[in-house]
Order: sequence, then C-alpha cells, then structure tokens
Amino acid sequence: MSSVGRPQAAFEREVALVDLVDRLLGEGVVIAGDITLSVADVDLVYVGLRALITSVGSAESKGLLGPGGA
Amino acid sequence: MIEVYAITDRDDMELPGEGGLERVAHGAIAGVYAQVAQRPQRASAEALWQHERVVERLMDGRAVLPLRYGTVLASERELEQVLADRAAEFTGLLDAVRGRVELALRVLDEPEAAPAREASSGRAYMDALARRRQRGDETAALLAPLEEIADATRKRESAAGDLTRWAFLVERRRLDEFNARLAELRSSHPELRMTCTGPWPPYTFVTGER
Repeated sequence: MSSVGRPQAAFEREVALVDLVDRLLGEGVVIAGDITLSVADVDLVYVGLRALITSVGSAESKGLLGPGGA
Repeated sequence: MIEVYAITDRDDMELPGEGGLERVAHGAIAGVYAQVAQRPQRASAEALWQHERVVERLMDGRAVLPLRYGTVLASERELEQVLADRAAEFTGLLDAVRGRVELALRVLDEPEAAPAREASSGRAYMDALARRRQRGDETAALLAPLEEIADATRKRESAAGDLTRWAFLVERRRLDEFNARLAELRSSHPELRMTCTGPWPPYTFVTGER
C-alpha cells in the first residue's frame, strides 16, 4: 500500500483494513504451528464488512474510490 | 522469543530502522525478525498496520515472502533451522514474486442473485444456485483483462458465496497498465461492485496449498 499512499477517506481506510486483515491473518508463509491469534480476533475486525462492501456502489459514485481503488 | 516478519533474499542492504529488525541467513536466503518479550495478544488495526509498514519497507529493493501475522519462534536458531529445512521452497517462491506486488479485488454478487434459504422448493433453490454460478462465470470472464496482466491469479469465495476475493500478482512496472484496465472495466460495467486495494506484499501467493 506504499506507492499509492495511505487511504484518506474513512471508507477507503475500512476497505483497506479488511484487505489487510485477510492477508496478515489468513495468508502469508506459515512456519510455526501455533499462531496465537484466534478467529475471534478476525471477527472483531470483520464487523460491518457486509454493509461496507454493499455500499461500494454509492461510495464510488461519490468519487471516494478512484481508478485502482484505495 | 522472536517475531518473524518475512523471508528475503540474502543481501547486504541495510534493514529498515523501524521495529528493531535483525536477520539470520542460510545460504541465499534470510529471515527477518525482531526480539519480542511476548506473543502478540490481539490483532488490533494499529498493530496490523504497523506490521504491514515494516514488511513494505523490507520490500523496498528486495524480494520478500511475508509471513502470517503472529509468527513467533523461540530463537533465531529455530528460524535458521526453518530456513535450512525449506530452502528450496522459499527460493522458488522468492523467484516467483521478485519485482511483483499483489493487488486485491473484491467483487460483490448482486443480493437478489443469492439463493434464498426460504426458497419454496428444492428445485427453486437449485435453480437459484445455478444462476449464481453462471453469474460468477460471467464475472470471471469480465475480469480476464486483469488476469492477462497478472503472472498469477487467486480466487477465494466468502462462506456465503456472494463476495469473491481476487488477488493478482503483477509486475511493478505493469501497475499503470493494470489500473488503466481496471478503470476501463469500471466504466464499461458499472453494475460490477468492486473494490481494489494495493499494491500489497504478495501474501496470497506465498500461502501454499490449502
């Protein structure tokens, strides 16, 4: 997320956070069997995801997401 | 106790100043870590972004395999052993992601296309499922221009099946091209509900089979 800069609008920040959570907690090389963070930690961050993504259409029409997104 | 951030090529470049980073090398690869007093207890947004910043700085000029957040080992000796045991795998992955970044795309299926639980009959439910599968195929076809630019593509569906997450592994030098095609797609298909973020470290392309 470095070359496009940190997202400014609250909406973009939220979308970026969800993508961040997906990656850091759900992807990446696994070398230790005992990753300590539970799914519950993830669920906390996921609250409101559905509503968030559902609102994408209207957010885009307001120009919050440019080409290429956050 | 150490928290491991990433596996990288072995090089003589300085590590980013942030985070008290150190590294241990084995052959042509290295593991980057920081000493920690305890395991990360919670995945707060702030902690995740901080971790992400460190990995992004590491990506500046080198190929990086980002690790799952919360990876803690007893010592650097243990990390060195992991590097030794999986050297061939990590070397191959580093070659695959070198010079490339990940772009994240989410596509939301139209709510009305989701089969209703209360569908009046098994037949109606099956029909709804088939319609949605077809919509998914159509969406995938629409995304072909993005897939063409990518060296690899991963698709993951949400449990509910209405939200599809795509990840594209794209050469840095082709980012503008990717953005242009995405903009084109947005204007020619306004009905597609998409969000795109990135560039990210190649998390999705180093996870392995699952």
